Amino acid sequence: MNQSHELLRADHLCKSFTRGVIRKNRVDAVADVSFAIPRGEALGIAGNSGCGKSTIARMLMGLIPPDRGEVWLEGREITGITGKEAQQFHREMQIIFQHPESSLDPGKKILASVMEPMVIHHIGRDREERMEKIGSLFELLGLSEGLYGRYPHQISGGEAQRIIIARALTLEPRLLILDEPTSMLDVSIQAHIMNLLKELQTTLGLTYLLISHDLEVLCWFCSRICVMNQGKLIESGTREQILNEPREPFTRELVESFFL
Amino acid sequence: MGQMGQESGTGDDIAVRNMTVTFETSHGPVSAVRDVNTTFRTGEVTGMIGESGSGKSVLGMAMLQLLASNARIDGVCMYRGRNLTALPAKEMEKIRGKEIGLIPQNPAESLNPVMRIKKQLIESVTVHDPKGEKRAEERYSDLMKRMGFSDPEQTGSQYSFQLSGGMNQRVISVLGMMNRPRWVIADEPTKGLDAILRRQVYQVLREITEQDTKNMILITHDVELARKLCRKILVLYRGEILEQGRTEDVLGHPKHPYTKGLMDSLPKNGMKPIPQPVKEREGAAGGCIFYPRCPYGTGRCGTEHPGEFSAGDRWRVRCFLYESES
Repeated sequence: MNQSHELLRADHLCKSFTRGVIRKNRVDAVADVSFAIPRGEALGIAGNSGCGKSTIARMLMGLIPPDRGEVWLEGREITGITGKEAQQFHREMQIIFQHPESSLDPGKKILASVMEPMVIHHIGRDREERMEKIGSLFELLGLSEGLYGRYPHQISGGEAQRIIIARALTLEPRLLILDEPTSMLDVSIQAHIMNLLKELQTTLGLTYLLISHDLEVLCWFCSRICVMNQGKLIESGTREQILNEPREPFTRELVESFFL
Repeated sequence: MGQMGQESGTGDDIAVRNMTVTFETSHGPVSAVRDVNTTFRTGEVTGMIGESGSGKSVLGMAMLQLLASNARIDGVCMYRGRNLTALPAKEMEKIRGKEIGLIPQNPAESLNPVMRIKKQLIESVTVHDPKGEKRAEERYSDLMKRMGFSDPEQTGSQYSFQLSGGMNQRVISVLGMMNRPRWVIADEPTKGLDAILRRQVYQVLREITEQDTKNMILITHDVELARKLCRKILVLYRGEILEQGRTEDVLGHPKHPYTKGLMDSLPKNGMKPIPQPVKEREGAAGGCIFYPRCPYGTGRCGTEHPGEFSAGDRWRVRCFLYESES
């Protein structure tokens, strides 16, 4: 693959966790995982609970350090960077978690939560300019401005997830990591949010990494899919290859069990 | 209004008539279930599908009187000549578990975290029949083996937190079946499970309907699971049944605009979203509950509440579009 088309690359990522004090028990959560995402594309990672999907997301974001391996964003290595550099790359790469309500400060009103990252990253000259930007993003995501003054417990799960997406977009990122973004939401709300994200891919030129256990959602959203099992990336291919001609027995089982 | 085509309750059928469940809250009364009329027939699985807040679990729990103390139930739920909603607590205890078993939501939270698995499963029988321990032991090891636990004694000596999510789901399925109930209510059995566990649960439920009892009520948001297991489907939205009928009719050729929207929003049907509520239509009292989001809404839908109109054999739709057919 041509390097200049690559936005994000993960090289041989490894992460293990140990538990127990006397008798140590080591779990290889992620073992030697490599992949690359071309600019403007959506890559999917499929796998069951506990297969290490979310650990990968955390390592990409720099929330936990990998034991080994590297993360590259636009040809720069970003593994282990700190300070000003880290702040810059945080702007370019944002993550949406599974539980939107836990991504919002329960003691802050929605507007304050949405504006905070803009203040931290010095986006917009003053409050007015920031309000304008938030207003246009709320409109883009079909959110009412009446939500500004509410607290997180006063809004629905679908609204919370759209607010989180709007907040991530205030920073004008190039890449969004979506970690099970709709698995806690109803299908009609899932349809609404996934359609919005797909539109944003073209209008804003966003690149996505979608992590999900839902093969149907992955196939609808992503052109390429990687399948993980027990920390290893066992198969990757186009969605047609994964659905119609899976090579690995685990992939076959995953595809079959999905359709009951 | 079209309250016709009522199926009369016979034998062991469960007949729900005019049921409304209201919670007293600090913001005033909130109706979670409104004017539900349906019959759960013996010998078939009935699915209650709907999204969060549709009232499907509240309806199921109301039938077993398992709601919080601030809930008020109006209407009746007839079972074997008795109205379950009016039974005193002592009488209801004899129904729960023995006559109607429950496979509750959230397996890990439904099991006692400080009691070993086997002990709590045996207890579910001895609480009804103090002398039934030996019988309970046999039933326990038989059911556990059928649910795929090759060594019931070993699993039974563990606590729920030592088992995986899928194992806990199978354990509470055993719990619901311990007393050989005539009816089983399974509440969201596949919620939060990945594809492989979901298929396991599907097989467990299928096995129950084949070997134990065919009388089952399945409460789920999982349309595919409902399609595979159920003969009849009730579609709930914000506390009301908007459509009910045979599975192949309701899911195959949905008539209510909400059922159509729900089916279209499934990933395999292209994830076309249901329209967001139209602001001007919101807040109108007395009209159709789906009017704010309905692509076919007319002025009448905003002011007049539609009844349930017949759309065919055992098929009822709460929408004025089908008024003329009934």
